[in-house]
Amino acid sequence: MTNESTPRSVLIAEGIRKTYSSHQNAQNVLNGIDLRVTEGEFIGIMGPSGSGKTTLLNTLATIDRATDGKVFINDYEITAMKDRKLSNIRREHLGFIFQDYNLLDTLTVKENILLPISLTPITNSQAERAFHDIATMLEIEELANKYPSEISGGQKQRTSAARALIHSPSIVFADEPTGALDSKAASNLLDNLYEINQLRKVTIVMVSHDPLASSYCSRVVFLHDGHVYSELYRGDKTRDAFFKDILDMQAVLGGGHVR
Amino acid sequence: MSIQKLVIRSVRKNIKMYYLYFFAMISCISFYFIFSTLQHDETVVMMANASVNFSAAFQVAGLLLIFISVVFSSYATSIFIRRRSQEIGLYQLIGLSKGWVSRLLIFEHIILGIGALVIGLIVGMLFSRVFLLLFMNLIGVDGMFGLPFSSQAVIQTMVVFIGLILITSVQIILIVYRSTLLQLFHATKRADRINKRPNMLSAILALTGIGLIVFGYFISTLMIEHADSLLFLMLLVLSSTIFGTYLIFHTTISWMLYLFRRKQRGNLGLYHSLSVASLMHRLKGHANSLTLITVLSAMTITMISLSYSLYYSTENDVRLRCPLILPWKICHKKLVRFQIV
Repeated sequence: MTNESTPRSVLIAEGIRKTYSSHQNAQNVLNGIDLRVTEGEFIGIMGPSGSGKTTLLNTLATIDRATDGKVFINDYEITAMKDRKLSNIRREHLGFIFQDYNLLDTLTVKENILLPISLTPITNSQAERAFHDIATMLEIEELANKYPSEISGGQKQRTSAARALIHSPSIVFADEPTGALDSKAASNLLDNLYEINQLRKVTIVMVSHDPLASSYCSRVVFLHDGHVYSELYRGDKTRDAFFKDILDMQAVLGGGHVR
Repeated sequence: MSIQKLVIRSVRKNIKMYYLYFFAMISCISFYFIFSTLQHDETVVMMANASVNFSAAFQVAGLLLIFISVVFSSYATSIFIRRRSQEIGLYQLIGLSKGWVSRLLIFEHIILGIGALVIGLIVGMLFSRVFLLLFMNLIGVDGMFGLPFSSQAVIQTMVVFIGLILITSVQIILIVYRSTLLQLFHATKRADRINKRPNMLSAILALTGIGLIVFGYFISTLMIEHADSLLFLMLLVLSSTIFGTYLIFHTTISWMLYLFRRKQRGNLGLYHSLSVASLMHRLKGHANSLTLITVLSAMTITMISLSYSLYYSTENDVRLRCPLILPWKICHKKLVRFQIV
């Protein structure tokens, strides 16, 4: 699977199934999803509401466990791992961005961002430099000593993106990162993510219902009723052209504008 | 940033956020301390030795106080953890193990607990003198008592509350280890579970609740005849009525409302859809606090009315029994007063 000519796969999912069962009935949310994400990709997951976007992201991101199927992250089979090992994987390989930021109110912006690397043996000057790099890229360095309650939603989301990126993870999972932002803050954040993806070669997996957000991706996967319905590659198209493609695909799928 | 710094920060923030919990713990501790000071005071001990009923009542009250503190603090802890579940989930997402997270929480909990213990003891010491005087005055004993500081009471209070901190720490570990990340991130959003159609079990439990309360009251009428096993009977009455009350709030009321709702066949009307439906929805989640409130207020009302009726009837009894006796009171070898009752 890894050789010199093709880029390395950082995330491989094979036959992912997820079933929620209650006493009376079982509900299949994911019906066998295969996915391969190569290094440096910016991949978007779209689909109408109830198609299993967030469930897929959660199973890929070690937040939820699949009922059946295998997930590999950097050749580690995370579906077969115990909690203790999973936390090591999360610490070294993964970063997370959520719709509702999940910042700690007790810590300042800088402390929030540095939290993931404060667990690893790291010197102060290294931490300082890592913070400086990521904060200038996301334009939040002047907010370092503010508390999350004192900054805007867009700034909060950029802080949480910085926290997801500070330890140079190989994959960042983003669940509707622009869901709570106004359009200007959203495109600001997406510009930043795109730039970081290009510069640092970080793989980003993003769930979104917003075609505009997905148009920043290099590939968009469309889910429908727990299946991969189709995929779109951006290739050399402009963002506007890709945006139109996504809209067309949504029209085919139906109900895409509603979450 | 080290774990200590993280803990100190979040404790400081949490005192602000959960000062209600913190102060409730303080008052809980100081009340228990006052109680145990009373229990260990020499004058009271002397009186308690003289009367079996009195010492039994004291023991039962002590156990009840411990029980209430345990229920209260485990309830408060679960709210405390539930509110912070997102934070707990976040720590795990950035790669902290469950063991680390529960250590952090327990460390925090112990600091809060010890703070509450120290403050509670100080407040208790300040107030125990007042309460002792009040108590002695109420039961009409004129006696000399020294400083009400009793190291035995301090030790007893500390043992009880350190035990309490241990219990809630185990609770924290269980919560952290049992809940999945997904549950942690949706805990605050999760609505109360809509209770499903009641089955036979809930009907049985509903009737058991009523039965337990009736049984408890029935036993309480037999208490006077069987004074030798008073402690056991008292505990039996208390446990059956408290558990019965819990069942009534937890099952009986929603079961009865369900029967009512089924009779209406979906046509609830404005008032009932605003009252019955939401009552059913909320009752289960609040069964604990409702039981606690009910038991506490029932106890308070019982104690107040008991002491008043004793106070009232003693005077009448004396008047009835000995209408023509000249009592006198000697204080410091001096005849103070005498009167015809």
